Amino acid sequence: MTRKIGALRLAVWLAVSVVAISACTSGSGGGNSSSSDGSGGLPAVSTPGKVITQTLENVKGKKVRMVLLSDANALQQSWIDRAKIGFDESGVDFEYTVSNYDNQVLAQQVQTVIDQKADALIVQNSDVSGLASLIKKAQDAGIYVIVLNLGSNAQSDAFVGPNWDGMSAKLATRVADDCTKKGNKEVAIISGFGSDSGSVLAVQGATRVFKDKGMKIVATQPGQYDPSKAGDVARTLLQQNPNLCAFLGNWDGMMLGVSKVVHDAGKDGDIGVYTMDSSIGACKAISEGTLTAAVNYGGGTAMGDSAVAITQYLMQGGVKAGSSKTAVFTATTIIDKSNADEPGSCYDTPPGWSKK
Amino acid sequence: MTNTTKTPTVAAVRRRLLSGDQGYIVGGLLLLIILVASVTLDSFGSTTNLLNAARSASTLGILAIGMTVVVISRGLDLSVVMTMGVTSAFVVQYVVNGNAELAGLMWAFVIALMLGLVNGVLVAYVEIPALFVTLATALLYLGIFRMAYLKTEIMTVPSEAHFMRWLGRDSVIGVPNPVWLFALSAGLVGWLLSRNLGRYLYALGDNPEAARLAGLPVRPLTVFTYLVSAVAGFVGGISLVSVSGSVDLRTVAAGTLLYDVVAVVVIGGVSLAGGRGSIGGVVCAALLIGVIGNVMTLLNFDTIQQALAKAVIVMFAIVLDSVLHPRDEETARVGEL
Repeated sequence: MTRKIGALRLAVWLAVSVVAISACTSGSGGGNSSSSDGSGGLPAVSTPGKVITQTLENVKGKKVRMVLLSDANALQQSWIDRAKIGFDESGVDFEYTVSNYDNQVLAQQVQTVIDQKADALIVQNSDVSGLASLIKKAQDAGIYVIVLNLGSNAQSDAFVGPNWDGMSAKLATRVADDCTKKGNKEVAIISGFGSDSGSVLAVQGATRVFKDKGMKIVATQPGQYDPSKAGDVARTLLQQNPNLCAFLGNWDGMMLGVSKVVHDAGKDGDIGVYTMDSSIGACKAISEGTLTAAVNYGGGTAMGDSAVAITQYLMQGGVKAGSSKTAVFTATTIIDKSNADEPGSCYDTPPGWSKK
Repeated sequence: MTNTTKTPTVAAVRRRLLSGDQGYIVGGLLLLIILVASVTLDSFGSTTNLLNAARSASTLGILAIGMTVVVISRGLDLSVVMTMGVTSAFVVQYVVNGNAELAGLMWAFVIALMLGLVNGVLVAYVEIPALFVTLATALLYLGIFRMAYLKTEIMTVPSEAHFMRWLGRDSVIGVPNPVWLFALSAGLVGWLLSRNLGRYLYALGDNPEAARLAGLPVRPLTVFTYLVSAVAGFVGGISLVSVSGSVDLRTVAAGTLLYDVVAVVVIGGVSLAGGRGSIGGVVCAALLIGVIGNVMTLLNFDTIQQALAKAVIVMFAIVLDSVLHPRDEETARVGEL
């Protein structure tokens, strides 16, 4: 009997030791771990085969939750699609929910993720301050928070999205160059709501460039991310400013309403319409000549993969949630008639898209 | 004969002016703003710009006309914007799927009638308050259509949709087609309200119990108002999608259009307690919103300034309504909103 108890004790100690050694070498701790050197969870020397095994072991079974405003657009569908593939291949338990643009529901869903004690939360913010306290609360609960596309005032563990200011400046430079060639300096900016971070930074970047290039900004108006409202604004501005050279806006869904107005006025080519984001509708409009140029910022192509990569990095490294404040900006490419038809210029609903 | 028709009309106008009818006051306010803006703002007073303002107001006006019929009858239709969204999105998806546009429009019209019928039956026969019914059905309609038929939230009107392309782009005698659609809707419903059927609706809104005792078919009349509202949603949706060239259910679900529709109805002098209001007032209110939006764009107002200006106007209308039509024992009893 005594011998049996002794053997049992030995087995328990051995098991505890193995687990402890394993934890130390892998650095695993996920969102709830607080002791790690942030090395990425791998030993200094190892074989590629062991790296794969150990990496997968580190993230296997971790809970990652994605909370989005919608899953009915190609943009979010591509994020979900890439996340499903990326996390499934790593053995991560991945699920997503959508709030259907209801900020209250969005907050409830984030709270649910906190209650579920997930390891990481990937969230699409609707404005800069709406989820600020919940982001902090999630981090305090040991959950890594990765914010997509539009930043928040509360610093998440990582922001993955475009540099809105830089992207807008890049597009504004193109607008200024095109207008200068036409000998016309009048431009109008159509923002989203005007108060969201995408709008604020896009207006800031474009305004700076336009001023530097000596352009005349005849108006900066909110289109409220609504093609109909943006179209109404554009129609009024067109009528008031007969010498207008171009419209610049920060979302293609909205700016297609502007391009329709310019097209109906018979001014395709005379008045340029430039937009950020490049869904398939934008490429189609560019090919048809109603839209002049769009910026592909990887929204529907690279952003989902980047979110998966940085989430895995955080979970493997095991740094304390909330201690890593970083931003990863996606690369931007200007799409115009020269490359609109090339594969990858614009994104569409992923092939075989299914909610399940 | 001429005298007998003209004299009562003139007398009615004089009586309404003297009694401070809100529709006329809004009309006066509209003219005043147009006058001031024409003098102070470059290019505001041009025909093109005024037609632009009218075009901007046309969808809102059509929806408000439908809502007016419901509210006059002491109802409320919070699903009108969703009906607009799903029926117009249905047409676009139907054509995108390779079907004929005309068939899509006809199907969408039938669907609108069915949605209105559901609202009407639940309010009139199941006797659930209109506020709760239409709040629930708005979400229900969107959910059903998103699950069953609509593939995405944002769709572009395809080039095969010739009628909608024409409707959004062209003009007849210099007036944009959506403005004609607005005018036709206003004329038709205004005429309807001036007939016996219209008087019944006013009677129903004024005092449903008295209307029932007088022998009016109050339940079918109530159903009828929701059918009118749903059809207005369909027509408004086709107008909106034709003008913008795309349908965006995202803005339908989360936008402020419903707030604007209710605001236009209130500004136009329609009592939320029922039994009072005119299409003329609502048309003026819709145009007022269109003109103010136009002026704010010309003045380069930002989002917050625009929301503030709109809020001030709505508050002004509500206060004016309260002054012109003080609450009495009867309206208090029926729970005026």
